[in-house]
Amino acid sequence: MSTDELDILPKDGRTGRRPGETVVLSAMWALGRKPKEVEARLFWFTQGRGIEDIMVVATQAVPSPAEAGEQEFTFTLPEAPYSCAGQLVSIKWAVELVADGEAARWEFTLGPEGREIALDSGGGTV
Amino acid sequence: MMPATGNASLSAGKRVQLTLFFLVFLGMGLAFAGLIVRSAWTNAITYRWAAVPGVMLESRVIPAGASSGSARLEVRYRYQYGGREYVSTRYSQGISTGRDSAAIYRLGELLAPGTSTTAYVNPAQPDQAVLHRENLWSSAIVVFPLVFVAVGAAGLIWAWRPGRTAAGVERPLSSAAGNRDGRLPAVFLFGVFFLFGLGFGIPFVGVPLWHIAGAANWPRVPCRIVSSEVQAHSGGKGTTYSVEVAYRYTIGERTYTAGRYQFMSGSSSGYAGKAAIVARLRPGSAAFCYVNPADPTDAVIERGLTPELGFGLIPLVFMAIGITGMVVMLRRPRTSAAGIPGVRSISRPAVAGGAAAELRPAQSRLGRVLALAFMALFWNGIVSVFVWQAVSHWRSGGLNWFLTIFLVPFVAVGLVLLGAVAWQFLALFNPRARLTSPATLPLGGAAEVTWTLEGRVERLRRLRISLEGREEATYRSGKDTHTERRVFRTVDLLETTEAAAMRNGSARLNVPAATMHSFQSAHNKIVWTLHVRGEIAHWPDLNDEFPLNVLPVAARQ
Repeated sequence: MSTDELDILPKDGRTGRRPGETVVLSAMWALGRKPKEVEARLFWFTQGRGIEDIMVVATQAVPSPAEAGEQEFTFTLPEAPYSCAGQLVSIKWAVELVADGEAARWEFTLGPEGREIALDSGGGTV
Repeated sequence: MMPATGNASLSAGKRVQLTLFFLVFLGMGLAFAGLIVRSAWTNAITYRWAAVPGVMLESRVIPAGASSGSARLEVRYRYQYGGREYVSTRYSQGISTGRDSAAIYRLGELLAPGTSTTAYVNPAQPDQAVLHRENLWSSAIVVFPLVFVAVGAAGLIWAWRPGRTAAGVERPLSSAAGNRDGRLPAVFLFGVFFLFGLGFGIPFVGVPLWHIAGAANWPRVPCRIVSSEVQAHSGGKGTTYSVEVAYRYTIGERTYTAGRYQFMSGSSSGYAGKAAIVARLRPGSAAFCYVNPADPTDAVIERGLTPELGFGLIPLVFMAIGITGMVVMLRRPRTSAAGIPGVRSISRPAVAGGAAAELRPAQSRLGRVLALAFMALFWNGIVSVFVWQAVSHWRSGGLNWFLTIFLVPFVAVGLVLLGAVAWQFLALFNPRARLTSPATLPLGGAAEVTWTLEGRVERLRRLRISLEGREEATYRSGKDTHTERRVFRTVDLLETTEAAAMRNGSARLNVPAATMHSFQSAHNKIVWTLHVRGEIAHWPDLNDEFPLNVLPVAARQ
């Protein structure tokens, strides 16, 4: 069991985000050794009945990271895919701070109203 | 924070199960690799032995018995080493490539008594010698058990790799990106299919065809049959048979004995055909054989295409599936053409800029029939080999109950598949729907959809056209891959029982605003389609889908 510490959180604390919005995150790490790499990754992943799919949308690396440190990361969120929750498929968004195979993760929702789209059964007639 | 991912979430029971499973892999691999390495080493050390001249004293081919494998070669030769004379009866030692009877007879001719040869002598123990050193490349067969060793070791490491490393610190989920688009494992799987087909295709199709082509100009020579019999080979999949024959012929001053009936080696099911050949080639009877003018020890009785070559089609099917699968997988786009990762984009947009055009169905009816027919053919083709085995048993007087009962569910599935092909074939004659609409619409967007039904529309009892949003998830269960689908949104455009309204019409399509856009990743999808369903009495229903690309609000055109 290591005593490594990693953390990443948005500066404004909000988890509901809209497409195209800019997110500023504060990250800190204390690893007890000089890491080879420290980077923040913006990505979406699926959950649910199917095999999980993951897509890293953007990556920002810390140049020459020290044993411990703090860094601010700024990401502009893409237009899609929206966060959604269905019975078979759910799509989640997250930013991970990754250092030498270890990570801290902050999850958020991306949607036109900053909310997750519920894939509930619904109908309608024109 | 989310719970730790991957193997960290394995329960203790599951971990024990996986450990046992991978230990079996590892153990079997190590055991076989050990045996091969030991045998290969025994052969390899003969490469350090001294080569000395020798003379063959005796060489005798012991014909194959009715159930005793292929023919055997017995040799005795004399050689000198360190001023002393020795006699040995050993042909080779260690790893050995299998030789069929034909090769054994040829070897017998090449090592005829009085022939000068080379013996390889162990300098430390000169009474130990061999005539033949197996090619060192034959040791490469150790790669096969090493694959098992690698899978077992990798599986054990994976099962016991720790997950969470400290409070709040996890394994990075994002590191799995790129490994999960499913292409590389699929390409690997199809590659194995291809190599499997190639591995069997070369010896069972390529080599015999090569020989058949080469023997086209060999001279026809009279020969005398020495022995002939049908040899039975018992194996896990039942008894197979081969023609074992030996015959003599004279070229120049010398008489040769050969043991090859045809170029296709090995054995196959079906006793009667082989028995008829053996009845024709009775010992003592005269026959004709074809002899290689460049090497008189090389002869064959049947130099043309034989029914056994038909089995060569099986590896060709594997090769075709493998190569097709690899090409399809490698050509599959990793991200959407729209440039937004995960946002589904129709690969063949019917329109540009949102103009209305005729939509293309998700799958053509003929394509459905052909896909089902291919599946039915593939399934029944494989099952028929085993059914043929069972029938052969039955015709030769025995009934293999275990095989017969075991085959029942497989035959049933094959019949269901054939029924599905017939049912889908009937659907080819259903009325055909033509829909016109923009193929790309944004969430909250609207468009006019027009439809025309061609064919015998009067057979339809009811017609329904609707916009459907569907989630699709592909998952693995054991060795199988399944896709589950669930409709989460339906917007009806038309539901009617009147033939005139069915024949043609139009309706306003309003795409819901507060819902999910089209999405596609390797194993998960959100799919929007215009669905046309028509009920027909006592006939397959009309059931066609036309994909729509629903874009996120921000990506409106």
